[in-house]
Amino acid sequence: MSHKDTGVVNQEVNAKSAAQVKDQMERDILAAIKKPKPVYWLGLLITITMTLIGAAAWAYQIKTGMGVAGIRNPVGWGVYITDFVFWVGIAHSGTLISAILFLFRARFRNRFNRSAEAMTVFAVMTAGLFPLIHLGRVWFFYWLFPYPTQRLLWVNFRSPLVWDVFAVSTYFTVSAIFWYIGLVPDIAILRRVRTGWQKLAYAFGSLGWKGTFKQWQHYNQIYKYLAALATPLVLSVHSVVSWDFAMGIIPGWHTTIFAPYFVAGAIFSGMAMVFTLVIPMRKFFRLEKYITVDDFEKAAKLLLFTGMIVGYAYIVEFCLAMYSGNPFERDQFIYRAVGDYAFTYWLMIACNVVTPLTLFVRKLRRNIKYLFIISFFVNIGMWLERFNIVVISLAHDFDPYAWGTYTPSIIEVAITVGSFGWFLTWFLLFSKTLPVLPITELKEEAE
Amino acid sequence: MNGAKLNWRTLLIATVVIAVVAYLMENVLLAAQGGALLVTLLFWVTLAHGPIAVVAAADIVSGKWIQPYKREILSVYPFGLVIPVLFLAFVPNLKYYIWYHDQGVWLNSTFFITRNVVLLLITFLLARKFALESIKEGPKKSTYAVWYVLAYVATHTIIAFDWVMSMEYPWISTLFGAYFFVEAFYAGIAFGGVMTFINYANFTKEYPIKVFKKSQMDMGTLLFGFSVFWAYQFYSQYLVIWYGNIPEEVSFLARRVATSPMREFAYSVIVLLFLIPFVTLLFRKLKGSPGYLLFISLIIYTGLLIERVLYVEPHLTVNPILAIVEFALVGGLFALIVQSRRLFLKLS
Repeated sequence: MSHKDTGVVNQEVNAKSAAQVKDQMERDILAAIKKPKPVYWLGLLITITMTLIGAAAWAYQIKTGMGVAGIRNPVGWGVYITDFVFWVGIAHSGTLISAILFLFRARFRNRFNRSAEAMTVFAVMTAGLFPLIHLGRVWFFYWLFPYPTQRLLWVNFRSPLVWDVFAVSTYFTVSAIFWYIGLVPDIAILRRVRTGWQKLAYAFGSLGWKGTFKQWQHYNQIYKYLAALATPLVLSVHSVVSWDFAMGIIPGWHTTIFAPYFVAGAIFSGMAMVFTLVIPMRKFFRLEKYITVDDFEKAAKLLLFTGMIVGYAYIVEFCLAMYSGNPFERDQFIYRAVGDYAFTYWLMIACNVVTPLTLFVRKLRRNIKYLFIISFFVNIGMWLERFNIVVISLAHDFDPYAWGTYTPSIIEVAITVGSFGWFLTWFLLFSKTLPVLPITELKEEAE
Repeated sequence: MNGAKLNWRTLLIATVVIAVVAYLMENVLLAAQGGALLVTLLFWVTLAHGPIAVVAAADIVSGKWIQPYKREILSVYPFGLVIPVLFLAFVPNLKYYIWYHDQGVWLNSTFFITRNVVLLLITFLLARKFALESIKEGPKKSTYAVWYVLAYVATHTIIAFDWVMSMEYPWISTLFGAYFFVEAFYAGIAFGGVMTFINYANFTKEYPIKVFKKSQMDMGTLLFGFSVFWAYQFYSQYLVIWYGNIPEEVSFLARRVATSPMREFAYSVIVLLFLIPFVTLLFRKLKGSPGYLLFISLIIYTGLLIERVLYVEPHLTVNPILAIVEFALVGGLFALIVQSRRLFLKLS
């Protein structure tokens, strides 16, 4: 056999083995959405129960009135608004992680983007509930939308709360489209491998995808444009959420760093939530081969980086409050550190600033169990951050006569638990309905 | 590039000479308030640290696009030594700061000078460590990169708060520090744009044209991205202050947009730092043109310079003749440093 012939044979062998690798990859990823095991049903049972607890608490609140919640003067925004900002933060990070990493051509993105985008959609669905819960008379929710009406009531466009309605709904639309467009080629694979009514459903969802050159060309173009559109949109949306606070002149709220700090915080908490969701998913669905320790290490660096931005913002806020000579601002930050909520404040610092710094150690960045634990710390820390911002500033504003404290009621706690149940239920359903990893993109990478 | 070259000794001598000349011009010859020197410092400090931060960030994330530019961009690190010396020439003008005659713990002239000089020197030393390690692709380049970025962020935050914000005391903006280090980063990327044009022949000789063009396009895309990010930060700061409408805050804006010609300068900053780069860099053809990258980089530098005049002028008089002379002297030194890169980067 000549050298030329050997080369051709090698090429054929390589092509064959590449095809086998891709087939194996497809089988492994699709294996995750086969018939669920008992542990999955148990998980679903727990999350649905949590959701029902939350739903029952909300129903009780609607029936009884807002008095069952702990919010009252001077703290008119409590756990509900905390939950809203927390879930919006989680929501914003998913698309941002996916879109920005796509634009930066970061390969490890393919291991996290599907879960991150799904998380985004479910988190917006969760976040969207909280303004309704907080409204009290939920049946008047449509008053937030401007439409021609005889009731002579027009929404206040100068209110950041109304900006929120538009920002969050636009964001939900773009994120859902971004996620769905990315799913189309994979749904087409499911259409090929499934039978019966499932085949019909996936055929409907795949929008006639055949994988032709022209379709791929259009797909790549639209995906790139959506990523480019989603990135500034995410920045703007979470900035608008931050302005719900920063536009007010309450001490601790009225600060210019809020917009970028909220965006960084959103990526931080979102990355942590991705770890919380993906690490067990990787283990249960045996995806260790596809989501490697190297991928986690890179994602951990992102967590560390955003954690440091958050830490920077904490330091700057505190120091400038001391520097400003403004007694209200200074007093607010001293109160945060040593007042009634000192425990939540220092716990937040420990979770969001101190703990992530351990990720400077390479060994810890590569320890999956450690990352899982860290993700919990960050989730807790970021929830507490929102609690501290929302509650402490209101509890301790300008006039000592109006100061007061706030303790969440059992109803608020139940609804918060319910929100986690609601979010996790959707995620569990997603993990058994659609591929949790982007098959086509991973195949492309394997080429 | 041929021409005059510097070594550490001649660099130090030149720096001290420029600092003495600037001091004499501001304090003896014209009895000016140091405004021109502060504008010069605020502008050139972005180019002393920003370009190194760009390489450090690229090294941390293993960005390959930086490779062709690395040597040229890292060549600016010795300029970091010029800044603290020039800052010392500015020190006598601290007496014009609003807090000078009623000093506290933080706004205290001794502490003010010490912390700034120490931070500037630390940043310079870390820049040197990082540049020498990165140019030889040493194993510790990422570690030094992280340390450098931390020092860079701290230094530019303090520069923003001390050199500019304290002039306006009690005005505060928590975003101001971040705004400054992002701007310096933007200036650092723009330096890549300048070098694309100046060194184009060498780049294309050393690297396959396809490889270099890819890096150049990435550079253009980064400039585009940072034009958007700059606008975002600008708007985030502006909106909160404008909407809050608190007298001690909004006066910062009022001083800069209420009267002519400050108003026109203020608007031109938005045009130069955002509108022109944003609109034109949407076009691939322009991003691919070395001449256009030079043009857009100079546009960005003009915007940054005007913005610095806007910061300083309401408080310290900026004498235009002094500003031009000092700016040109420091700029000349900067160019000489870049030309002397073989020596400073220990290249054979």
